[in-house]
Amino acid sequence: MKKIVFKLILAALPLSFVACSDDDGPRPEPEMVTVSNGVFVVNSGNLRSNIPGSLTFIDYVTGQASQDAFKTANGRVLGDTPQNAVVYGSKMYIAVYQSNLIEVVDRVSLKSLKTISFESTTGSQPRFVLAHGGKVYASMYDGYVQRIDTISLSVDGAVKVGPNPEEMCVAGDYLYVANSDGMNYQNGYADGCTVSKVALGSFTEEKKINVGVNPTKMASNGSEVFVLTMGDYSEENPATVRQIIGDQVKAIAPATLMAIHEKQLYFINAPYGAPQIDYKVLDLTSQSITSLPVSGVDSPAGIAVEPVSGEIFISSYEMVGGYASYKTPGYINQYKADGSLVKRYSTGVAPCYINFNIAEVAK
Amino acid sequence: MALAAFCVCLHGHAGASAAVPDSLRTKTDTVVSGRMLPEVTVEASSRKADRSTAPKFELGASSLKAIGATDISSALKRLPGINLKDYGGAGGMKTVAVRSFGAAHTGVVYDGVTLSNNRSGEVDLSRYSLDNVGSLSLIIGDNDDIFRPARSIASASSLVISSAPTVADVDSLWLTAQMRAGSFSMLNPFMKVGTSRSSGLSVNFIGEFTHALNDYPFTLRNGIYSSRERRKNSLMNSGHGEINLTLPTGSASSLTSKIYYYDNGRQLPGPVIYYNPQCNERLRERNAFAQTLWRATLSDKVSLRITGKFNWEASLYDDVNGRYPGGRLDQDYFQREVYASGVALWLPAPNLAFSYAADFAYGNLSSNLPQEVGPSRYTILQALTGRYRTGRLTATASLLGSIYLNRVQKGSEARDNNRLSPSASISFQPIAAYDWRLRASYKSIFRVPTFNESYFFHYGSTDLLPETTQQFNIGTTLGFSPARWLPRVALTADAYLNEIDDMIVGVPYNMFVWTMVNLDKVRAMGVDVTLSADVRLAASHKLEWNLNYSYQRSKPLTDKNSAEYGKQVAYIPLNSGGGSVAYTNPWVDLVVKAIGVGPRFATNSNIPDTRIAGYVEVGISLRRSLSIRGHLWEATFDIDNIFDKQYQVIARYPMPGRSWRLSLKFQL
Repeated sequence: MKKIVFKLILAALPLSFVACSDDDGPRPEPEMVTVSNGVFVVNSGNLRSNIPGSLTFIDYVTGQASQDAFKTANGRVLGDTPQNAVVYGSKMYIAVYQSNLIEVVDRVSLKSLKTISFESTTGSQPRFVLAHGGKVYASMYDGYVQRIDTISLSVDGAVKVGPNPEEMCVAGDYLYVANSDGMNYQNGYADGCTVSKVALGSFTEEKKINVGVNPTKMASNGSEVFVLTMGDYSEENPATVRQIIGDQVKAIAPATLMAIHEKQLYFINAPYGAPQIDYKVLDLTSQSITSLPVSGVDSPAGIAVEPVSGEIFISSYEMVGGYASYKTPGYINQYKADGSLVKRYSTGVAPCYINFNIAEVAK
Repeated sequence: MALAAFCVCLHGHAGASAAVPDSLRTKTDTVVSGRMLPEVTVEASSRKADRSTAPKFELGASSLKAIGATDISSALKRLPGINLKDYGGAGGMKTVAVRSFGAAHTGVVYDGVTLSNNRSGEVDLSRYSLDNVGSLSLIIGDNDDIFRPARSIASASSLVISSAPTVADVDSLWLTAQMRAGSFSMLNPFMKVGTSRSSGLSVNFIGEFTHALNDYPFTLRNGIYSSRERRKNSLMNSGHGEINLTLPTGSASSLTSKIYYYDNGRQLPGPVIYYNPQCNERLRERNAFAQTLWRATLSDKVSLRITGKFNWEASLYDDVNGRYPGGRLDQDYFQREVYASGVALWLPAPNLAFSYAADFAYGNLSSNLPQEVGPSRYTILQALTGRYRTGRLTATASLLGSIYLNRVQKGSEARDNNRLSPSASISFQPIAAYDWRLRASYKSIFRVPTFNESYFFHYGSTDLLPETTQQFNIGTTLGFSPARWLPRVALTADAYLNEIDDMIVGVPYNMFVWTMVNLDKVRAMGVDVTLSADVRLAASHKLEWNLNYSYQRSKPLTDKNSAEYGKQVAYIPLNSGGGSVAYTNPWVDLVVKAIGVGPRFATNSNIPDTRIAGYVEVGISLRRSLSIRGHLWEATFDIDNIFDKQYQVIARYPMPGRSWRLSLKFQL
């Protein structure tokens, strides 16, 4: 790990030179730019098979994936079934669902800075974290969103949503929360047909928008908002990506995974039992959907688009006997924006979420 | 091994008849021409090599003492070839898988009737306390005991639990009362009271209760750190009552009946989750049954055995957690079954025996789940078995015809199944002067999908085929008395090849929804060895050694291109074994015992992170009996895991460290 840390510092050094070298003339507001030096893959592991969750880090400079990056940095495991992570400022926040905590780490050294655990009645069992405006928002599986101040690293507010909120996104002054009702599958996700629209200023739920059965994933580029409803796994109710426009919802196409990058919405449709996997891109300007010639993925687990390069990363389970294995390590593929394969890296078990080691630096 | 030195009373008490192997029964039946023997002390057989044609490992009452068994799990661990899944502590579930087959392939026979669990297919053995167990035996494949119901040969192997026989004077009231206390706030009173009349009528009542906090400490290792933790949410209260009645129905027939009730309420500590000790799961299990068994020797050529049983079971699970609708999850399951069996044994010639068994069962399941389909199953089993036996040769062959018919109240039903399953076995004594036998056996059998596998909402699949198994075994048994100071040495060694195909496993739809498919294929090769010996040190000073060792190489062969192909199947140790020595003397009997299990993996792909370390667990047991004014008092003190070894059988379920228990028994 020391090696990786060293490389990370090395990788970051030129950026700091760039940031400091331009000293002539008057000093206007520095123009900020996003830089990225690697990919984090959150592996949820498999509690039943005694596989704790882990973090894989792919270093752009070395082109290598290092497994168990959290454990290497901290000497202990990340926890059980981590779900996702967000890099914000100098830190990364990792939602560890079954361990009921959010791990706050330094995004470069990956050393734990604080472990936030939840015992309160206003939310436990974090599923998803996102960062916005100096706060980190965490959806809690028992029906709340908690707000964490990124300076004090403590909870400073909570709002009831749900049931069983999953992913979230921010557009304008609102936080959108997918209420999956995932624990109520025996009753057909009866209460899980909505997205909560939470006003960020007052931190209250303004309304629940009806979106379709079992919404789990959300994406936004800051203005347009998309939700992915998983349906009830029946033919009548397939997984579908939908756009939320005001309080109205428009179905776009069948999809099981999605990622947004500027004016492009990438989505994958890999429903259970389907012989093929569809990869598509919706151009938000022209509203046209085109196919993406992606190959080499067995059973996609996650998709993300690198914010700087526009490259596409798709993680996958390995197959055993023709079925996705949730007990064996998976992998992640790196593609150019046109869908051509760049490289494959191995990951931990169940690589369910992908994010990037990004930073905002002055140009 | 030891058909034990306990008294076998053919017209005795409920259950004892099941403890009597057919080899003995037939002998007595033939010898005395259908007359019931009063009480036969079977001392001789304990010195003989095992004559069983297929592996049979028996722990009778004296063996259970000699191995220092303190509870059912410590006894099961000493049976070779067993993979005991033990979730730890008094309340932890314990299921038995044999030679790489899943636990649902092990039939559990309790006092002559095979237990069923249509819902999960597995029987939790933690409910049987050793206090009332007279013998425990494991039969792998089909052996030469052919006077058995068809259901008891419808599984790959059988674990036969038989209630303790009562040895008491006729026409008296007898009573056994026992109090036990142990670590982690365990308290366990037990009482058995009954009477036997000279008419042959006998009746007894058993009652027991167990309270245990089970909050034992354990060491949690996490990377370079380790911390001392305690099991939480682990309390158990469990009660069990029985009435047994034996009624002579003629000079050569008798009826034994049992009414049984069991009620266990416990908290479930769940798996150890890193950084999160919160757990609120609870489970209450209730079981009531009534069974009756009529045995009759109709002539010196024909015997009959008729069994009937009604079984009711409830499994009431709840969990309190904000993530559930209404903050609470309640899953209540109810199972009922009626079962009837008839077996006829025909001895047309001195060396020849045939049996025909016909079993019928109807079982159903209901629950409070909104998507419950209300499944039921008719099972019709018929078995025809033949046996040829001389003093030196025993050969058996049998054919089992199975019909499983599935019905549901709503929705679609699982496939019906009809199959023929053969088995054959042979045992041969090469040299008449030596008590040395060779044996070989083959069995092909299957198990039908459980109700959970077929119907559980989303997860179940009604398209499933049965899991099929093939077993080949060759072995040898040897018994000899080399010296006066070494009056008995008994050895068994068996090698086997087991195959399982169409194994039912869960595969994901996605993270939340899984479904069941017939997928896995496993081949296992292994060796089981047992050795026992008595050493006479002096008059009334005796050592009894019991050793068992198993080697098991179990390969997943599902997918050549996958990471798990050819590795070792999850939870199967390559090496495991146990040993004990009992020192019997006029003062305090002492048993020192050890169990060792090699490292295992929690995954078929043998990911290094999922390795579970091997362990050796050592215990001692002290026992002293006293006769005070004609009444027997017995005190037993056990220390288990004396070196406080921290280990796990199932990953994330730590086992207790050092613990003690003290029992005081009184017999009127």
